[in-house]
Formats: sequence, structure tokens, C-alpha cells
Amino acid sequence: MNLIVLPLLLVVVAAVVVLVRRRRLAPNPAAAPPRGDDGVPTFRVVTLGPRGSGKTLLLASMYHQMQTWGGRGYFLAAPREQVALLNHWFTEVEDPGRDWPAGTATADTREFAFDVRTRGRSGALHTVLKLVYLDYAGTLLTQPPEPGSTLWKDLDDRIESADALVAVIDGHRVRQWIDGKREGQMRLQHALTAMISRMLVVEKPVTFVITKWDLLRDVDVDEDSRLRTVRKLLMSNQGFRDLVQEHSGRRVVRLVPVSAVGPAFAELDESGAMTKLPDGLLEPTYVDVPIAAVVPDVFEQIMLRLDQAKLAAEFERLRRQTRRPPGEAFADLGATLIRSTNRVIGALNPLYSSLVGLAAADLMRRQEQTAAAHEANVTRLLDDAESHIEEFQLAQRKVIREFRSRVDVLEGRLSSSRLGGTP
Amino acid sequence: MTATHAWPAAVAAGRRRDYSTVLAPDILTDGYGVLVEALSPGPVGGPPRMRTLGGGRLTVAYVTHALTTADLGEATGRPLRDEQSRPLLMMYGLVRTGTTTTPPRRSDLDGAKRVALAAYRHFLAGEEAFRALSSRAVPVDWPGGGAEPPPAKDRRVRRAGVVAAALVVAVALIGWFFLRSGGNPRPCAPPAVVAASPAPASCPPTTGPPGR
Repeated sequence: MNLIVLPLLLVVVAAVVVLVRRRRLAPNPAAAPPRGDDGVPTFRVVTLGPRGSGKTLLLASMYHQMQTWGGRGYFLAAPREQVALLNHWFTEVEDPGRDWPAGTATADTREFAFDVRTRGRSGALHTVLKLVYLDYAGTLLTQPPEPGSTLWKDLDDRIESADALVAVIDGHRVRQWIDGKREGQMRLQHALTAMISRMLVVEKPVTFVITKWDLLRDVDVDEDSRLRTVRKLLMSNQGFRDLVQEHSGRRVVRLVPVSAVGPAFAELDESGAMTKLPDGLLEPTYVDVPIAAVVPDVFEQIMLRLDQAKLAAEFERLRRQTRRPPGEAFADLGATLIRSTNRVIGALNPLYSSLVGLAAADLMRRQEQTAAAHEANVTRLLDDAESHIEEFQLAQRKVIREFRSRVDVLEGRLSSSRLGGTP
Repeated sequence: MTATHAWPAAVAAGRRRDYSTVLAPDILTDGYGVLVEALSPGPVGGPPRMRTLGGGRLTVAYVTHALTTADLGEATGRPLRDEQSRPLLMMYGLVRTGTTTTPPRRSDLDGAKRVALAAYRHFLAGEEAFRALSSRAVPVDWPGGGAEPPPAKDRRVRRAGVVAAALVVAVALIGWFFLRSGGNPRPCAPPAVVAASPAPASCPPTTGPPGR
């Protein structure tokens, strides 16, 4: 009898094991996509913004500008169906004979995945970073959920797991507020409250983006004064002020003006409607900055959160480790930093340790040196590392430096764009 | 199988308010949010799109309509726009029980459009406080609905049932196995004949009542 029962038992146990394993291995559509595909760091960006603030247009314009080299050392690539969709939206905008694209429907909430690609020394193309960007209907942010819907909760989860947040401020509402229209002020305050209540509870780098910057072109004499005026206006909102003041020491907060179409493409008519000019010139402005700021800001925030004494000790340890290859030493440093700042970047994959270590070394030197000396140091650092670090890592580092440089250019031109997290 | 009843439904954007459920079947009063999460705009005037709701319990067939002032009863048909000058779209259609890939008749969808537009006018009149209106089932001629595979949720439930049954069987077999082989040992009956062979590892068979 035992000879029958034991095999039976084995069969039953094996069946249960197989079923459980199949269940575990089956892809779960609700789960977040895996991070660090093939060791390439993935940075998740969630853009918060009310209905009509220009989130989708910013995305389409940003991609349009960054899908080719355009004088940069990198470009963005996306899956074919996403490229088709983004280009379709941009074409709708670009054509003066067509309507503006309709708003994003709640059912159209989707993630766009961009590969940041560059050439290595050998001439080979490398995907050095991945950026995942969430596009969704603004209703999820500002309206109460309808009975039985689940996307509201899903958005909160995505905000929680994001690496950086982009908060979109509708430039049209700012314009109305400046013009003394109460509705513009009320709508903007409502949107700020909805965004800030979510941003206060997560410690991620935040870029406030003022869309439709072209509608504010006559507000002040020059661009920096204009941005200062808008900043002053925004700081009169208690939530905005609290976010900037309370978090400026520990998180990076920026204010970036953008225009998806540029200053000579559309205007407000007498009824307040946005109309395309028949011979308008499409010249997107600063649309690449919010996405370029994501990666350097994540690293900068790591540095801001670190105990400076501990950081100095880590660097001292790094200096002493002359016998170790630089790549290994940086990876070790990065792993320590990731562990130390687990709360800020809890989801950052340990695979990125080398990248974090290199970025940390760059940022540390930035704090110590003038810009020129910094550049020399970075070059020396690169030279030191060159013989040990693979082509892929060098290419990766080159792109991060370019991102950083793009943000530096904006800060140099518009000093008011830095709200918090002074390096 | 032909559905004889279906419910008109609509999701649309307002001038100020984003896409919202405007008209929902009365059987979805407590969960009509599934409509706004399932109905994505298609080409205006294109063929009906089909979606399943509630894990396959319901099917919705809908078309996308660009709203105009004519839909509000005006003589001219200028496009309706939101505050950002974007065209306003409405997805309207019919909801039925079961699953099918066959769309309803155009005349039935036209009937749903009339009800949906009436609801939309209410929506535009008070967007901020608007709550979806309920629709009652209307008679339709909508074929299909019997040949679809079981919905994913049912398959999951079935698989969970198999696992649970297997566990029960395993536990029962294990229990039986241990109980049977000495889990509650009883004293052996004294052997009737002492043989020259070694003592048996277990109780020899007895014919009389045990434990005397």
C-alpha cells in the first residue's frame, strides 16, 4: 500500500509546486516594469498636472526635440508604436490647419519608455540610461474618483515609486492670475494644492515646470525678471511656499519655464481661446530641461541627504584604495551611498552602484572646485578611470555630464529657476 | 445567442471637467468608474470599439463623437471646445451582459446616442457637481455572446480551486498515512504461536477483537 501512497503524494506535491511556480513566473500586468534591464539604470518620472496644463504636449514636444542628436551627445529612442503616437500628437500641434489635440482620456493612461542612447569611443551605440515617463489624464489629480475606479490609487502608487516628479503649472492660469482674473488664480491654487499634497509626503527631486511660457512673454522686460515675477506669485501660495522652504535643504526643487510651441506659434484671441497663427513658427523652448534634470537631480539629492562627515570619510577611504581599480572603488562607494540614502532612493537598484559612485565623485568635486578646476578634475578622473572602466560606463558618464550641463546652462541664464537644494 | 436588452452609456469631457462618466447602466450604480477607465477615444466616426468590463461579465460597444453646438440644440454645428481650446469628445454606446466581439446594430447605437446627448446636456449645465445619470435597459438586437472563452478571473478561480483541492487531498493522504502506520499505536495482540522466526516489525494480523 505504501508503494502506492508515496508516489501519489509526490505527484500531488509536484503538481502544487508547478502551479505555484507558474503563477509566480506569469507576468503581472499591474506590476511595475522591472528596473535595471540588463544593468541599464531606469529612472521613473511622474508628471503631475491638472487637466489642460500641457503635460502631453510637453511630452510630445520634448520627444520631438530629443529624438535626434540635435547638437547633443545623446538622443532618445522609444518603441515604434510610442514613436508613432508621439509624432502624431506633435503633427497635430504643428499643423496650423488642424485643431489642438483633444485632452488625454482617463483610459489612455500609459507609460512611455525612452532609451537614452549615445556613441562609445569605438563608435558603437549604447543605451546608457532608461527613462520611464507616465502620461495620464489630469482628472486623476484634481477630481474625486468615480465609484469602482482604481486608477486614482494606481497614480498614488506610481508617485510613491517614482525617482523624480515633474509638477506642471499651467502658464495660461498664471497669465490669467497676473491679469487679475480670479478664475485663473483659483484654478491655479486648486492645482497647486492637489500637487503639493502629494509631493509633501514623498522626498523626490521636484521640477516645477511652467508650461505655455510663450503666453507670458510680455510680462516683464527679460526672461529672468519674468521668471522672478512668476516665482513671487507662486510663493504667495502657502503650500508652494511650504514645500520650497521646508524641503529646500534636503531636496532639489526647480522652476523651469517651457513652451512646447515657442513664442511665435499661437496666441490668445479676444475670447481667451488659444489660436494657432496661420504662419506661426514652431520653436519649442527649454522642453528638454525637465527630463535632462531628472538624473543629475536624483544624484544630487543623494548627496544632499548624506551626512557630510560620513561622505568625507567615504572619499578618504576611496583615496586610500589606490591598489584597487577605480571602477571597483566607485562601485563600492556607490553601494555605500545607496545604503546610506535608502529612504530617498530606496528603489534604486544596487546594480547602479558604480554609476552612483562616479556621479557622487563628480558632485563632490563640484562643491569643492570652481567650474574650470572642476572640469580639469573631471577630465583627470576620467583619465584615471579610462583604462579600467568599460566603454559603456564612460558613455553613460558622458551623458550624465551633458544632462548636468544642460541644467547648468538654464540656471546660469535664469537664476530664479533654482528653488531649493542648493549644491 | 442574441442580447435582447442593453444599457446606453457615455463618457465625455466637459468644458472644465475632464473625461467623466455621463451615463451609466443602472446595474453599475456602485461601480460605474470602470467605464471611464475602459473607454478610450477612437477615430471620430469610426467603427464601434468593443471592450469587456467586470472581468468579462459585461461588454461595451462604443463610438467616438466630436461634440458640436448642434448637439446642444443649436442650429449651427460649431465644434464644442474646452477652456484650453481643445475639441470635446464623447464616447457613447451600449453595455450588455456576457462577452461578444460582434457590435450592435447601428440603429441601436443611434438610439443610445440620443440618450447620451440628453445626459451630456445635463453634464454641461453643472459639470462641477455632476454625478453620472443611470440608464435603463432598452430592447436591442445584438447577436453573439455565447462562444467566448471563459474570462480570466474564472480561470484564476478554477486554478485556485485545483490547488486547494490538491492541498486537501495531500493533507488527507499524509494524515491517513501517519495514522495508519502507528500514529496512535495500539497494543499488539499476543501472538498465538511463537515461531522461530524474528519478531515482526509491526503487529501481525489478528482475527479477534483487538486490545483485550
